[in-house]
This record gives sequence, C-alpha cells and structure tokens, in this order.
Amino acid sequence: MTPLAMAMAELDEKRVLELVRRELSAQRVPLEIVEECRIGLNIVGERYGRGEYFLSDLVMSAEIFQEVLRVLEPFLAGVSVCEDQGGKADILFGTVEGDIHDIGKNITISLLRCEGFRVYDAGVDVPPDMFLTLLRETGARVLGLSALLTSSFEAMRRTIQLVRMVIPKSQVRVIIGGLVNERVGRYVGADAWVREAGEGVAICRRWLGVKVVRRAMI
Amino acid sequence: MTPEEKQERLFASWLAAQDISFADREAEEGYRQRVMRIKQAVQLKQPPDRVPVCPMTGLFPVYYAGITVREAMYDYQKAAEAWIKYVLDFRPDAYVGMFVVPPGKLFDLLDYKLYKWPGRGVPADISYQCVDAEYMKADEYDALIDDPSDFWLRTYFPRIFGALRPLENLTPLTHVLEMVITCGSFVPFGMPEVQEALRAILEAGREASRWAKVAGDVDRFLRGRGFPALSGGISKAPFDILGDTLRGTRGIMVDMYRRPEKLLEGLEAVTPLAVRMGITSARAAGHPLVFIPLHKGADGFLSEGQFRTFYWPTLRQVIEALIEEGLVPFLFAEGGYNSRLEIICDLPPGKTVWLFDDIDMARAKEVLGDVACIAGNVPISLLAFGSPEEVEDCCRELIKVAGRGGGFILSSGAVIDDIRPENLRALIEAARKFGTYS
Repeated sequence: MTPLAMAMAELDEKRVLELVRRELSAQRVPLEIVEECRIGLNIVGERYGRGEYFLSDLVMSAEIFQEVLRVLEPFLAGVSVCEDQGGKADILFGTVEGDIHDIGKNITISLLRCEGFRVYDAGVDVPPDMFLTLLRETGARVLGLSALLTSSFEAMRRTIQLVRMVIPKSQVRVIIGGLVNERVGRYVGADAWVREAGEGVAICRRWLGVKVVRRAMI
Repeated sequence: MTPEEKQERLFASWLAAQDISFADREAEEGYRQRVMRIKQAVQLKQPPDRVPVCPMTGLFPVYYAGITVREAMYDYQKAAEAWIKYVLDFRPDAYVGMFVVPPGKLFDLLDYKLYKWPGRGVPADISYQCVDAEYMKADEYDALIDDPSDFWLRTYFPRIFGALRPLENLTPLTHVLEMVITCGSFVPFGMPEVQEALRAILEAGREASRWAKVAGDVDRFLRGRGFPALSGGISKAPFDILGDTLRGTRGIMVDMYRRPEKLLEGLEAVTPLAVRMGITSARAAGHPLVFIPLHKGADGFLSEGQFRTFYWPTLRQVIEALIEEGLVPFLFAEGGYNSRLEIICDLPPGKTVWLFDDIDMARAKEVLGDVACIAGNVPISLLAFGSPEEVEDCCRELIKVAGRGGGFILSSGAVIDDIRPENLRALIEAARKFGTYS
C-alpha cells in the first residue's frame, strides 16, 4: 500500500493533504492520486465492517476525501469523480416518503461508490412513484430504501408494492436499511435487509457481481 | 441534607401529590402504589410489589385515538383527549407526557427551521423530524464558550427561527452598564424588523401558554385518576447538545479530529447549562425523575476512546450534579449500548434509571444490576409487527432475566409510535401476569 493510501486509511488528514500536494508537484496524474485515496477509503470501509472503525471515522474519511478533491479540482477539470455518468446507475438509493433521515443512507452510498458502484442518490422523503420513475431512468438493478421511523415502514411497503407491480423481481432487487430486521423485511416485501452499511455493500456486490467494481470512478 | 435525604424528600413530595384532588379512593391508592413501585425499583433497596411497566410511548396515543399527528400538534384539546384515552385504556404505571406533541402553531409563528413537522415538510400522519445541519459553525466555539446565552440569543435564535432573524442586530445585553453607556443597546430595539420579531415572541409566548395550560390540565387530571407521569424534568448529554442541534452530526464528528481541544472546552461550557436545565425543569414539575435522551454515544457511533474522552465525562458530571440535588436521571440510551456498560457503571447505586434499546439485557443486569435500575427493552419491530403472544413471551423472558431481585422497569426499547394496540396491551399485561415479586 502506498503512503497516501495508508494515511487515508489512518485518517491522518494533514499527511494525506501533504502527500497529495507533493504528488501533484511531482506531476503525478490527478486521477491516480484519487485512486490511491480510494484504496485508503476501501480500507476504512473494511475496518468499519469489522467493527474497528465507527461512524465518526467514516464521516471523517469522507471529509478528508472531500478536501482531497478540493485540492485536485483545478487539475480534474471536466472529469467527474465518484459521481454517476449519463444518468445511468447500478443502484438507486433513497429515504422513503415521510422520512428525512439520511446519515445511514449517505454512509452506505459513499461506501458503495468507493467500491466502484454507480449510485444514484434520490435524496430523502422520496414518494413511491418517484422511485419508479428513477428506476426507469437510471436502469438501476438494485433499489436501496432507507427509513428510521416505524411509521415509515408503510411507505417502504407501498414503494415496493408499486415497483413490483411494474418491474419483475428478476430485474430489480430491493434492499432495505435503517431500523429494520427480518420481520420488517418480510412485512414490506424486501429481498434483503441490513442494519449496517457494510452488510449492504456486501449484498450489492453479490447481486451485481464484482465486475462493476472500479469502473465508475471516472 | 445528603443527596439520599434530598432524594427521599423529592420522592415523598411526588408521592404526597398535595396539589391533586383524587377522583376517588381507588385512584389515590393506585397513584401511591404506582409511584412507590417506581421509587422502589429506582432505589434498589427492596423489590417493589411487582415490576413497574412504563412503555416509552411517543405518538402512540395520537395514532390510537385515530387522529393525525398534525391534528394533535394544532388542536391541543384533541391531543389532550388522546392522552387521557391512552392512559385510562391501557393503565400503565407511568406515562410519557404530552410534551411529545409540541404546539405546531408556536413553531409556525417563529418560522422554525430546525425541524420539519406534519404539514410543514412531512405528511400529516408522520412524526416531526430534525433537520440535521450546522447551526453553529466550526469557528464559533469561542463565541459559545465566552457567553453561551449571548450566543444562543444573537446567533443561534436568528438561525433556527426565521421570525427571530432580526435579533442578530442586538448588542450583547451585558453592554448595559451605567447611564451614559446604556442607550446604545436599546437602539436596535427601535428597528422595525426587531420590533416585528419581538411581536412574534409575544404571540409565540401566548401560544406556548395556551398549550402548557392544556398539558398541565392533562397531567393533573391523570394524576387525579391515579396515573403519574414518567418524568418531570428534562436535560441532555453535553455532547448531544452540541452534536444534535448546534454543530450537527457531521460537524461534531469532524470536530473530534480537527479541533478536539475546542470541542472539549465547548462541552465543558454547556455542562452547567445542562445541569441547570435538569434541576429547573424537575423543580417546576415537582417530579424527581429527569428524562435524558442519549443519542450520539451509542455503539457504532463513537469508538470507546472517543466515548471515554468526549461523551462520558461531561454526561457523568450532569448525572452527578442532578443526583447531588436528589434528582433521578432517567437515561434513555437509544440504539446499542453493549460496549458502554463497563464505562457507565461508575455511578453511585440507586440513583439512576437506564432504559436500553438494542442490548443484551442479561449482561446489562450483570454489570449494572447493583448500580442502577435498568429498563426496556421489548424491540419496537416486535411491537410493530409481532403478535401479542410473541410480545408476551418476550416480556416474560425479560422479567426473568432483568427483573431478578427488583431494579427493573418493563418498557419498550425505542419510542412507540404507530404499532398494533393489542401488542402494547400485551406488554402492559405481562408485568401484571409475570412481574409479581411477593
């Protein structure tokens, strides 16, 4: 592992930025610098999955990565990093209607993007028909629904019912996250449920195959 | 007086309920039994007659009454009827008060930015929700630390209340000193927009009073029928004060890495405010229990080192200061707390209640059993989607594991909103069926 990836994994912000500036002045290609940071972020995600890192560490890693992008921005003109391209996505992700909680959703999305998945973030308080429209527009094969309120489970159920009426199960699989468990998963009709962002990433990897990994960085 | 004597006196006053006229002898006896049950569960000296059952209801009374959350927030009488109906129908040992449906109009008048609520950003039948953002900037720690009240009035209020934005024009109130250096501080009060903001405050005050009158009437009525409220006072962990509604989740997490010293200073600065809030609100309610919902210290949010450094020390100070006054901190540990048990057990015995959600209750009893009354933790998903039989089984097991020898309150693990009423009934009945000690 390179010193930059290592510094990223250790959440050493000062050293990360120092190394990024040093590599830039040594005429290193900016996208390679981003790739090294991504490797560091992957390690952060793995440590989180093993319970060695915490929500605070994930938040900080995203923050450091943002700082890196700010430094690299003038050199990355016209290139979109870690974002979707052409409106197409592997995964559509959003918090269901009536619920505006987004911490879990955002963490999961950033982990998924670090894995190379193209994720379309539909935001919070998303009505069922909006999810359906976005599924069609993005061609996503996985729908991730987030909710923290027990009263939002109905919205989850309505969303999944609507999607199932129009799109066959073989084309779109649904994963739910938040304050959920097996019972909630059954009730709303999801294909999988997770309490932790890391588990969600593992399931998406299984469903979508690892071949998409790394494709979407640039 | 020692803290023990103060606590006894506060429990005695809660038990005496001198300002209450009871409906009949049965109501009076019921009230005293319920209060005594909670007192004995808290103090750990002897088991009560049976396990007290105090479900952590949130909006359940609203859904149960068949009204929307919006109606409950705007029609105070409807909310009052819903609360009375819930308590009289379900007969818990103590109930969570009407404060969980705050007056919607008050927040309309102030153009409140911190939350979305039914009709203002979320549907009419869904709970109000906090908009997590930075309401205090990273470079404002010194302003907060130097003069918290001034920071609240001239910086925080203008950000969280649209109608009070003009208050940012005020000068610090401490500028008023002697005759020739007073007038300047009043000049901003002459500005039309500041006067408009003050009118909004007056109107909001009238609305708050209308609501408080109804909530107070409900409390007195239910006590008169034999049912005490679960808590009187309220406070928060200093880390949550800064993290929930000032710096926001992202802000405070990043502060732990980028400006740990400032964060620690900020936590020290708000600690006395949290203590004062707990004492003042409990005294006003004449109730020894102080409700303290805990948020960002849960398993998974912070590492053990971060919890020990940033979360626990100032929360412990708050808890100890309240105990010193004879009050009983009621800590509602939302989420997981498995990794925190060995840390939080460093407290004097018989002085706190810990309500747990996602936790191994057998281990909680083992670690905390001699120190604190533990409460919880019927899973909210079971209450929402399980059958009454499953709820009953869960409660029976909980009473067996956590209720051993007293020091236990049967409750839900998380806040109960829209669940099947028969499941709540099963939870409450389980305490009567399986919770008898004598």
